[in-house]
Amino acid sequence: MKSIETNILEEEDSQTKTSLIKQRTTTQKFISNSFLRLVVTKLIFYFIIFFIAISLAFLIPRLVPGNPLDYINQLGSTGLPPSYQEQIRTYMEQLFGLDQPIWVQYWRFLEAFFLHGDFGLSIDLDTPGQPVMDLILPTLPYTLMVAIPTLIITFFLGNLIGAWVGYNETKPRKVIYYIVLTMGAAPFYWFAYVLATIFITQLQLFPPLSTSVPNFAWDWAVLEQIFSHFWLPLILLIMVNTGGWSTGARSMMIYERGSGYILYSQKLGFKESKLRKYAYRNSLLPQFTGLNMNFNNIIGQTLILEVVLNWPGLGKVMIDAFSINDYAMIIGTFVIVIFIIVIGNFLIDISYGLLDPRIRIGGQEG
Amino acid sequence: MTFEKKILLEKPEEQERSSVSIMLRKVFQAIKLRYKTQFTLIMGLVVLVIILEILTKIPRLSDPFYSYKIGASYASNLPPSWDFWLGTDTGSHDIFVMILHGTRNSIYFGIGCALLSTTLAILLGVFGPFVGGKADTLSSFITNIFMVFPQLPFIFFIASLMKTRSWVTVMIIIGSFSWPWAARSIRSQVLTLRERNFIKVSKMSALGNMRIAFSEVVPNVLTYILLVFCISFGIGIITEAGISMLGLGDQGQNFITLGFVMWYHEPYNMSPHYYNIWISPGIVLVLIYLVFFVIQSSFINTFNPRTRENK
Amino acid sequence: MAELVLKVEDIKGYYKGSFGTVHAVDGVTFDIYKGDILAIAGESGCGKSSLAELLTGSPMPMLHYESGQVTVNEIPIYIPKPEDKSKLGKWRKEQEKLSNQTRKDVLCKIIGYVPQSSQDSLNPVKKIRKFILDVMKQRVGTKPKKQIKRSKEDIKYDTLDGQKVRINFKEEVLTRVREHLEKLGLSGDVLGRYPHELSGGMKQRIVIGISTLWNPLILIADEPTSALDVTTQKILIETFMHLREMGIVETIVYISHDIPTLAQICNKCIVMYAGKLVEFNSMDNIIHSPLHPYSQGLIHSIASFNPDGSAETDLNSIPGRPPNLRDPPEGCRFYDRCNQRMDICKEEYPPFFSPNGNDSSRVACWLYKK
Ligand SMILES: Nc1ncnc2c1ncn2[C@@H]1O[C@H](COP(=O)(O)OP(=O)(O)OP(=O)(O)O)[C@@H](O)[C@H]1O
Ligand code: SF4
Ligand SMILES: [Mg+2]
Repeated sequence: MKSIETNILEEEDSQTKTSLIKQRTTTQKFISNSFLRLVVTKLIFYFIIFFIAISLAFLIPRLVPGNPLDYINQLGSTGLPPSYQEQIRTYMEQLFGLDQPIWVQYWRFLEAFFLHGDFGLSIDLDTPGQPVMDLILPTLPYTLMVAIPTLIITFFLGNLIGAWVGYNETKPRKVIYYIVLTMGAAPFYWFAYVLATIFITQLQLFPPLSTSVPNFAWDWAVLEQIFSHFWLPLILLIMVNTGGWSTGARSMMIYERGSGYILYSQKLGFKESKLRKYAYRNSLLPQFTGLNMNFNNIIGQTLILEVVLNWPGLGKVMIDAFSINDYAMIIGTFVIVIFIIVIGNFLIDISYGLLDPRIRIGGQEG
Repeated sequence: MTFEKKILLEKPEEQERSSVSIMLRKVFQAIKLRYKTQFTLIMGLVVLVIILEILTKIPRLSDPFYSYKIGASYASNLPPSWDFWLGTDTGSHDIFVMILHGTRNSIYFGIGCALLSTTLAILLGVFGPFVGGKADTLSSFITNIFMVFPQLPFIFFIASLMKTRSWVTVMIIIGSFSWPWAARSIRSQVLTLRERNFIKVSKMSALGNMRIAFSEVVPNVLTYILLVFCISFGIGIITEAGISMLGLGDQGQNFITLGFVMWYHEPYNMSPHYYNIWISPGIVLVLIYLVFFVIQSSFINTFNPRTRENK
Repeated sequence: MAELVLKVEDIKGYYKGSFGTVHAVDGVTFDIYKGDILAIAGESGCGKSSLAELLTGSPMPMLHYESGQVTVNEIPIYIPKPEDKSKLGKWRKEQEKLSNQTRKDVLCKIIGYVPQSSQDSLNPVKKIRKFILDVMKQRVGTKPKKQIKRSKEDIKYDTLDGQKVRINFKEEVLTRVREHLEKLGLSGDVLGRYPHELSGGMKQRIVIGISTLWNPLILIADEPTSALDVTTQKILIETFMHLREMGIVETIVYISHDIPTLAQICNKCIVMYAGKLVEFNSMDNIIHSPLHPYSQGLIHSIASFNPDGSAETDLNSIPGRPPNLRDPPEGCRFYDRCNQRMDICKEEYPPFFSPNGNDSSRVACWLYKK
């Protein structure tokens, strides 16, 4: 009887060894092999996603009642100089093939975008006949400089507050938690007015909304002016988005705090501070998967907020384009926004793969 | 762990005399037992809606656009008083009455939106993993595409394309673009449930897929769906308010929402003398959102038994 | 008489939460002597794990110490709760301090604990090696390093696996750990893996390995085999026997509801029912002549342990369910299911009787009243 068992023991050991050899080679080649594979699969995945998403952005507007290309016929009424009108009409016809069936238009759109990075010309009266790409790109930094810090700050701040409350639910901690939550419940555009009233009208910390933000230049005075406008949207987005993370982090923390490895570590004589460290780290990790969705959300909010707070980013250009039906501009902004979101998601996925060893390389998500 | 074990232990008896009606009753009982708090909260909300419905039928409060008079002159731009609890605007409309109507309609709007987006989320998030194979891959792929779609701007865009916007179309637009996160989280919930032992056991004992879906997954996923419904509701009313506030909502005067009230009083925004007019609809929005938030977090607690601890 | 290593006196521990108060451990008394292998048996939910948690001095979050005392190697690990409510805050602080002290002095060195859910007892994002080094660091206070540059005074010693080890030297520590794990039938390479890359049985043995690194006096193993298949179970039981043969641990508390397994390895047994200890006896007696009606039912429900070895055993388990521990009955907790109940049973909880006349067997049942 004993010999059988020792046999089994040995058998398992030999299995262990063979799989360990495999294991070792993969760990040695970690950066070169499995990480690269993760990057490549994610790259392909997101390229397909990007392609389909921009196709949808191109096609859906055409399926909605109210032809988005009607504006070509309204050019006369916009007060555009006749020479521009003519130029835009011929250009658009050539670019999109407006008389052609939808798939030809689609093909030409793809061709122009992927080969030349061209979306068409703007019909905005301030910038008539200019290539849309030239108008969009300068606004991009403004949007990103609000969105990206918001993403990072809210992620850490929200999760830390949530985890902090979840670790030890004392009264003062709970009060702070509920304040954060209530701020998160506020509709952000309305909250923008409230904050603007407090910070601009009452405290006079920031310049009034009506003053416009100067164009970027390497000049101290200009930079100072830009930054004086920059804080309000940033603060607002942080206030609104922190709450969402906190709820998740709190229940994650409560879960982790009671999970087997914490209890076992405690029984091994771990100090409280180390247990806390374990729990913090492991409750932050799953939150990472929510970052994708949150990035999308924050970009969306930034775009709308730019209109309310008069911040010269992509959203302002975009919403302005909605109101005059500047079709090339609209598609252009959407493609760029989707591009940003896709890149963001890609980077988030990659860094998550680096952080959590449990993630299966190339495995499905969900 | 122990909970699951107990289910496993109780399983054999159950199977012997299982028929659809018993199964349904079991599901119902389980739901009733586990979700007492939520049930009370939701009933509270129903009562609130009924109260609003009755209030807005009272003649004095029935027309949000009635221009009130004091004596012979119009009561315009009055501060809050006993007669006009939240004051009046330039058109002598009672802000309180407007908000009453707006609240009721916003709640209806939110429910409609949440119904739509939750349905879509269920279609893509529950059935995919259950049918498995290609359907699963497809549904998760579709979800992934819409995940990177800038939903908020796109909703604004579609709304701006519409020549005439009724609240129904706005609802459809919002509902049909705000489901991806919901689908994704329901999906992952179903996946973890599918992995749980008790479902594996019922699979091994050769029960049909539908049977499993019914007796094991439905009670659990149902909770999750309700949770998602609550969150979708919040997203729905807030997005609608945003769209309306930028003037892209239903601008007719027979279905005014809180967003409409905000848009209607846009000139007052940031005005230091008329806080009563421009702050109050926002506060009501926050309150509605918080009520749903409480429901939602009590749902989350039922998922995580460890959160039930209190000292 | 052998040396007394663990003395449990009327220990009570309740779960408290929004669900109410669960009287999971409601007055349990027993002693463990050096060299014992003690079985704790009882059906699911009777409070075995809760008792084990209480024995470690820092029970899990919702389980609160109520009263009683546990003395480990003559060190008491609880401060009795004061009657006076106003002194509770101060008591809580002192108890916290004592728990920390216990964790440092008693756990690992005197008591090794293998939790019931050892499948998720290892930090999922740390390699086993990293986790073990963390354990070292927490226990000794210095991080094991590759090399020590400064003078000799920095060197710290600890006894790992019965041998003196310079704790600051990573390689020395790891070699010792590797040897120790090899004794448990694990190849040393598991150190380089993450928990999710290991099988259930391997994880279990690693947990046992970590818990026994310091050669504790007592090892408390809470259902170490419950989640495993039969062959792995056998290997694990083998492992436990090895532990004793190699002199790593001498005294073991083995918790299980699987009587055959217990019979294989244990020499003493306590039977728990609904938070109470109902019988304390030698393993042989429990199997061949159980005293308490509940123990009898428990043994009779297992075919292969029918005393006369015949095939006609009644495989029926005891009908009925244990009482709700939220509101346990006054009298004998087995009353509802007992086939020999008497009137007194309902009114008063039975004290311990020793029908054999000595202290080695005790039973809480009115049947044995002299
Ligand atoms: N976290 C908890 N909160 C509330 N009650 C609990 C908790 N854990 C256990 N209990 C209750 O305490 C009692 C004893 O549980 P315990 O885990 O000690 O049982 P056990 O004998 O170890 O059972 P098993 O053999 O299933 O491991 C049970 O009735 C259980 O319902
Ligand atoms: S005390 Fe009475 S009820 Fe309890 S086990 Fe003994 S005989 Fe049965
Ligand atoms: Mg147990």
